[in-house]
Amino acid sequence: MPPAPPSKSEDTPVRVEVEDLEVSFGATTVLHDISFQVDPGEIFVIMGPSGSGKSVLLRTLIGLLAPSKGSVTIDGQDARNPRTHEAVKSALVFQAGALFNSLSVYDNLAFYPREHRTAREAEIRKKVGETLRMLSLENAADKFPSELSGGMRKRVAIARALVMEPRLLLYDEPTSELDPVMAATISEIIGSLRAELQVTSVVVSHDRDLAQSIADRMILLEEGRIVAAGTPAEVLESSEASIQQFFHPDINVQQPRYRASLSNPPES
Amino acid sequence: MFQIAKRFLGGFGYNVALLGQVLRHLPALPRQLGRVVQYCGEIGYKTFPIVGILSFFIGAVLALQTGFALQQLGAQNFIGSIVGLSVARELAPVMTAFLLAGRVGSATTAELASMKVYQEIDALRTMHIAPEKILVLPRLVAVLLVMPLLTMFSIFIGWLGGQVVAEFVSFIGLSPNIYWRGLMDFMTAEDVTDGLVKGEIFGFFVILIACAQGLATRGGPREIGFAVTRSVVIGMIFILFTDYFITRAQI
Repeated sequence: MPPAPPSKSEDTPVRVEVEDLEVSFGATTVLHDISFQVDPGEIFVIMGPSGSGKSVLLRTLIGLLAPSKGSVTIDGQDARNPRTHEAVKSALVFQAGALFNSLSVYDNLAFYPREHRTAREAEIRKKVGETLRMLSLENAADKFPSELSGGMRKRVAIARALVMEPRLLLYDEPTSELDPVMAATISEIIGSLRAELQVTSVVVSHDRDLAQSIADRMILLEEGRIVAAGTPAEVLESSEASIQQFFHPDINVQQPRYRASLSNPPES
Repeated sequence: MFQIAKRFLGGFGYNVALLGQVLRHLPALPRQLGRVVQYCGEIGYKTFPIVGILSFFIGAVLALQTGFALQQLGAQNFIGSIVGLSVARELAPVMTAFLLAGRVGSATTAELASMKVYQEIDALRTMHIAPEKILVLPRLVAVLLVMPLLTMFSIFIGWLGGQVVAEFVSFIGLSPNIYWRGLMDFMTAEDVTDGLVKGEIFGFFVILIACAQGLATRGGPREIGFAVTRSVVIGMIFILFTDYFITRAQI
């Protein structure tokens, strides 16, 4: 049994450091030489097209996957050690919610404090009630996950994570499959949670609007490598053609050959 | 051939590792008693009625077959002892374990596989809750508590089925007194406890295999069905395979 990491303050946000990270599945390497640092209380966004390794990176940060090479540390402690996550109460908001389908929304939220016996039932009821109110979910308490819309499921997933009182909160595609209004609401929630709770947040997304609106800093992944890093403005201004293509897909930066051939068909 | 051996050893290793993880959480058992009671209820509710029906007819058919043969020799008095020994030592634990694999094992695998596919297992881990502690440990304890009752129930109903046939089928026509006396004369307490020990071993490993198959599921919803089929087939093969060696050790 690995020793429990020394806990710093119970309520300060945490620092995440990733150094030379490589993650492989068999002979396939999904992430190559990833290095970055997330400062305490920061909203850090990991962007990239589908299949670029964003979710694998997030699952490595939370300890669900082990690095093949390099290291991930949270407040200086190895992220592979489950006790590190227990100490900082890291929480992950899954892309599809990953709510417990056999439990009501209320019981989903109360699950963590009940299992860990962090509070008595009356305190749990109060805490869950407050969290449901914070995310405008009061009327959904008795519903089951199958009865919820996509946006509500995301909000319940965020609420369930918040009940854990996390110091590190990870989001996997929080606005995917949502309409623009609900996506804007979720991005507002993420921003306001940082302001209210001072939690360190890592957001994986391919939503450019979300990244620009909430990120303090961000990285752009492509085929498992970091191709740009900095503030959203810095990444946006990068002269790399692939980045311009990602942020402005309507601008034909690279002039693909097939378009040229359509406009100027080669003479036979 | 090499691939099959590799898969077999991989699966075997996964079951052993899962058992090791469950044993690590044994000190947390007192806090899982609520779930143990819940799973006892589920196992009993799903299995008791079907075990009753099946056991009655197994005892009945056994009495019919042996009665037909023995009446030609004028040795009907031995029906009770044959039915008693066969049901207690062999048929009751094996058939109960088969039903457990079909009813409870399949449902367990389906539930855990679905939780795995829909990331509920990952969600538990990110909430710092070990799935082995809350999903596997209480089930294994529950089956250890319920299996002796199920096997005992199966033994008794099987004997009863044999007695009904021995009494009411015209070409046998054995009085209940002779049937039960024959059964009791040849039976020892050890015969029943041997059956109960078998049932306990089968039940424990059927549920362990079911949990392992569920938790090892990868991919999409289609895999849930495959996992359930694998769970039941492996469970049944395990029962028949180990039955031989346990019987060999008991004789």
